[in-house]
Amino acid sequence: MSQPAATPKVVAYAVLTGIGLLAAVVLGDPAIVALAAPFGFALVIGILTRVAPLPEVGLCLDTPRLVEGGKATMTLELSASATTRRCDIALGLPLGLSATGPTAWSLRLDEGSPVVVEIQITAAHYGRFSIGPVTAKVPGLFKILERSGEGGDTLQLEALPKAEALRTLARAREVRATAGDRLARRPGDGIEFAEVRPYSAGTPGRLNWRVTARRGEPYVNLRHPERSTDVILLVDTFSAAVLARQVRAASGLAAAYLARHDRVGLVAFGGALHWVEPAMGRAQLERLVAALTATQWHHSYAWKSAETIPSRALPSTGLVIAISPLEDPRIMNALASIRAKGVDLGVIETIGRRPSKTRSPAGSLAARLIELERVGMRDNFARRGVPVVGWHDGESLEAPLQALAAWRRRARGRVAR
Amino acid sequence: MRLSRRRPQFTGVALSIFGISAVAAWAISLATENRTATVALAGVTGVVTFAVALTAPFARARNRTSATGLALVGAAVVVGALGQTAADRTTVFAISGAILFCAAELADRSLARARGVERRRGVERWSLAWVLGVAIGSAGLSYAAIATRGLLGGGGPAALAVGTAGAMLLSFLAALVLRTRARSGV
Repeated sequence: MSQPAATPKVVAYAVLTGIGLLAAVVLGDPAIVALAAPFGFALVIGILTRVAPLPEVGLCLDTPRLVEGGKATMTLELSASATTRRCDIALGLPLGLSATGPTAWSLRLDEGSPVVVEIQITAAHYGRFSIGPVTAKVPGLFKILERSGEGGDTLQLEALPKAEALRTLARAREVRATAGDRLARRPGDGIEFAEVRPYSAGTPGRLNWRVTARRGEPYVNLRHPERSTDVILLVDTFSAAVLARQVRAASGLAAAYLARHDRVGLVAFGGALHWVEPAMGRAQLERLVAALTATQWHHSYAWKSAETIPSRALPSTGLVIAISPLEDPRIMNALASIRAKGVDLGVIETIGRRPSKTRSPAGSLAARLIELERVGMRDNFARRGVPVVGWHDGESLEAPLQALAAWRRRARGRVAR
Repeated sequence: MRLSRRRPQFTGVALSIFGISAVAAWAISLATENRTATVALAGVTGVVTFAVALTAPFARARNRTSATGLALVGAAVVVGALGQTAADRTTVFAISGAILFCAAELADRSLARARGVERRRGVERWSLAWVLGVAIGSAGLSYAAIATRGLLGGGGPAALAVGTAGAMLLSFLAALVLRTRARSGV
């Protein structure tokens, strides 16, 4: 139990009392003592009066996990071993969390009757948050002495990024041997009809009796088999300004691809490198969301290249979708290196809000110059077979994904590996 | 649920400044002609220092600066009342001390009420009775001690010692009673 400590008021009152007494002695006038007597009297009472002990604090959350924008209820239980006329309690919430009501209370605690306080907490931002302990203060009479300390455990709250539900997805060119949701170009066993071919030894498919009867030789129906693909989400963490948007986008993409039975991996490329190897299923979604929630911006001047990314995190047959503002030369270089290895690559360029039309002539010129530079950079990537689609702030991710899919359809067969 | 608002805070601070300004003005009015300038300077400086102290964000700085302001106003009262008779001086000092103490407590309690704090029902509130009790009690006690000294042979070190010891004894007795009351939660 913490001992009562002197507040700054003690020094002030002691000095005032001392000055009064000293003046009385020096000037030889005891009446001056009357001037300082109330301060001395309050000091004596404050020191002699017992200060109630700090209360026991219990903290609990109704859920350890919620989605960004969601609410959790926190319960604060205070129980005192003696009647406390006044107890000041304050709960500090980390940045990214906000409370609907107050987070500081001044209350009276009676022995044997605990006080319960409920707080509605809203996660304004995704991330992992530590809440607690609370700060408790019990002042004595005249606030001359005060007990203060911390109470309660530290609770962990995980706010998952709010992902957009996506319908359009760009698909990888290469498929894997395992079953999935993507139609393979090579005919085989499947549901989707592909073509009718003359039968030859080893040709998969079923005999088409009508065509066989008409032509007098065996013909078979070929079908497209459904296969899974590898998708790697490469998130650029060099820029803090757009990181939250990128994490939300990656979270949505991961959920959408995993729902279609693809293997999904993650590479967070920036000041620090983190990766999750590609896998499929619900457990992988949990892993990816946990990794994305923990993704942070780390300031670094160190040169980073694609060689630092482990090969198992970046399979050559998969589709790499990079989400980046394309501002840092290190990410541009890494993307060029990844493409040079023959990896199927698409880039979603995160751009700020669309500019307002009311601009000064100098502002318009500057905007045009910047846009010219960006167009040049996008053309440079396009020449290498890498589509770059812009994604403006406040807009749905559906539009850039459609643009990406359309670009890949148009470029099919024209882009060399 | 009652959230602390800015209005009571402002009212408390304004009242405390008004209180010490009244004490300073009283000191100026009591001062003899040749001491008026000194008293006015000390009084006004004290009031301004006290007012400025209340804007300090941290308790330590606030307490120290406000104590300086109170000491300056106290000095003004002492200098201002020098020309008065012993009985009048004692009355002036006792009343001024009580007002200065009330002003200091009022300002401290008003500023301790931070914004956005929920004050639950039953929590110890202003306790005006405690503050006034201490102010008036201590003033009365001092007055009684000084009067006792006057009765015991019109002054001298022995009378001063007896008076001071008597005052201290009474203070400790009062504190003891208050402590017992606080323990029993009355």
